[in-house]
Amino acid sequence: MSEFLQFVASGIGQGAIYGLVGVGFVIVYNVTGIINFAQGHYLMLSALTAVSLREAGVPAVPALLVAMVAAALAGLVTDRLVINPARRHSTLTLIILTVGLAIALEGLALLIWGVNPRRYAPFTAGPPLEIGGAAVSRQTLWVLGVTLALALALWWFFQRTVVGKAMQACAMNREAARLQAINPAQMSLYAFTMAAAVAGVAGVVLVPITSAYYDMGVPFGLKGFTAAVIGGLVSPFGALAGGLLLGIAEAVAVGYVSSAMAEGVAFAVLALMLILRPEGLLARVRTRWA
Amino acid sequence: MGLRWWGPLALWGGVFGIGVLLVPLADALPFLTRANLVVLALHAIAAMGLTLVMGFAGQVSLGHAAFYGVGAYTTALLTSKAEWHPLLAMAAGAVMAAVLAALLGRIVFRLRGHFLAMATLAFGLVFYVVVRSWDSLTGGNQGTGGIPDLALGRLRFDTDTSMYLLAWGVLVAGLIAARNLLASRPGRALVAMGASEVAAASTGIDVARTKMVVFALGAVYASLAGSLYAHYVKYVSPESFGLLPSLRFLVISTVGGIESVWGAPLGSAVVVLLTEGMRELIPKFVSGATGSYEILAYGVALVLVLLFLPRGLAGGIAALTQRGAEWLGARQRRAPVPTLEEVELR
Repeated sequence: MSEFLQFVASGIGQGAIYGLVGVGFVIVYNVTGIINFAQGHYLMLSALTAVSLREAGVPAVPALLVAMVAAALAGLVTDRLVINPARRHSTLTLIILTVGLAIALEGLALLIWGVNPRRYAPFTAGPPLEIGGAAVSRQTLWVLGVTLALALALWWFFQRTVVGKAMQACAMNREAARLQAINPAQMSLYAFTMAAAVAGVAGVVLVPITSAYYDMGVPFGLKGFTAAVIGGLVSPFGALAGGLLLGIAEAVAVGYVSSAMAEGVAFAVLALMLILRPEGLLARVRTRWA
Repeated sequence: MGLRWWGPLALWGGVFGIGVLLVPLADALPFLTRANLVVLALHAIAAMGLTLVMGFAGQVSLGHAAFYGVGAYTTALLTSKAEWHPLLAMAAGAVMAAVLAALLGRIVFRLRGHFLAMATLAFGLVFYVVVRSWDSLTGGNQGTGGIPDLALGRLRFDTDTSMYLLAWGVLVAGLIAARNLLASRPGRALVAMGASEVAAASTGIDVARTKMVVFALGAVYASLAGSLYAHYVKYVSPESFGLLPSLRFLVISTVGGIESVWGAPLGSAVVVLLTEGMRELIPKFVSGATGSYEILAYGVALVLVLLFLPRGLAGGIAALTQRGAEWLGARQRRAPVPTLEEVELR
């Protein structure tokens, strides 16, 4: 049992990251109907930007903030330069567009940062903490804390602000929302920017755990998508829960079977979900996001 | 031979002739070799399969290179270890690819459209991981070699030029097959589906089944190209079938235009020129650039083409032909812009 707890403790941090990427998929998909393939690439951008700034001697807090803002800006630019001009095209075209964007971002990252992975030290130094018989690294606690804070912020945003409610309205019915004087193009801008910002936050807290490398966008994107699918692609909080489940499942598979299994787990889970329960494990929350 | 044979014969003979003319062209250009031409033809064949999937089933596949890999590995293992006849091995690869695609399609086509994109992405990555880690069968990262030359009777395809001409011939055959398919009854169902799924379904077309068949057919194209590739390089390793090649096929199909089977060869030519050109140019601007930085060009090309030429090169050429005809006053104005197929049928 304590062994199992240890696996849970080591998988939960990664899982929270998958969840945060998944949140981005959910927000963009519901507000615009697009699966944004570059979702994991915003995480890559913020992680590598943060590493570069830290290496250049910028203090931690401003470096991380700038990196998150850079990711959010990338999301904003995505909507304005790539998505908005093509708004009248088919969904197929829009999806391939985001694939193109993802490839371009990866190529750009390769040119700027090269192939070697880089990292910086955990936010707080020190040995892992002992919680309930399992050793939990301090960075994992940071990840969980940041994830919790973001979840609360999202809940507040979607429940208590006009813009948040307008985005929910778009998710429920775009035409009806338009009749209420909600501009879908503007909601799309907010959705892409928010989704990228959330991935950006995930990127900077992730670096001390896995390090940052130019082609991390695809694996994190795919796992984030899997997390979102576990949650049924309808609820940001479902995606977070899905991410935690996936992270723990991966860690357990690595622990009990082999480390080569880790890659396979996410894909197997994705395949099983698509075959058996395409509506998600947590598919009761259809209309309300929080 | 009746009169009605001459038209198609001239057309396909002409297309094959263009392929032959590319050889001296490649010799004349400093950054192109005949080996690049082989790649051009092989990728065009594989991408044509993807064009059918995207243009007519309306589905994105991000794991197309896996089917290319199925063909390549089947040929590699069966001809080098089991000493099968190359054609038999090629057929076995095609069957495997079709079955795999049908299974995958069965699962995914019941779902909302864009799930296929993610599912095929995952499928492609799984194929890559399996091939890389199944050491005893595939040789893992080392790959597997000892693949014999493709020899049919006394014909040996053991040089760049002969392989290229063979691949170009297969490409032309693939074009003919695709064109004939699209003109047949199931093909017309396909075209109807490409135009509107709902309308097609309402006229009694089994949309899910038709999609599955197209997906399997697309996999067969890729698998055949993969088999030829295995004979050409004589050695296959997982890198040739990962995510990047899948994206390359996507770029070829999209840049060429997914509404016409002519898109794949056009797109492949552009991508080969772009890749080889970039390989020449980028090190001149960015010192010490390493790795497969052509992905930057792929991405940018994809975005630019979709934004400014959403119907791809084939669509652009069709529109130009139409404009030219209008300008000459030969045709009525304001007709909807046709696809290359329609231009030709008139």
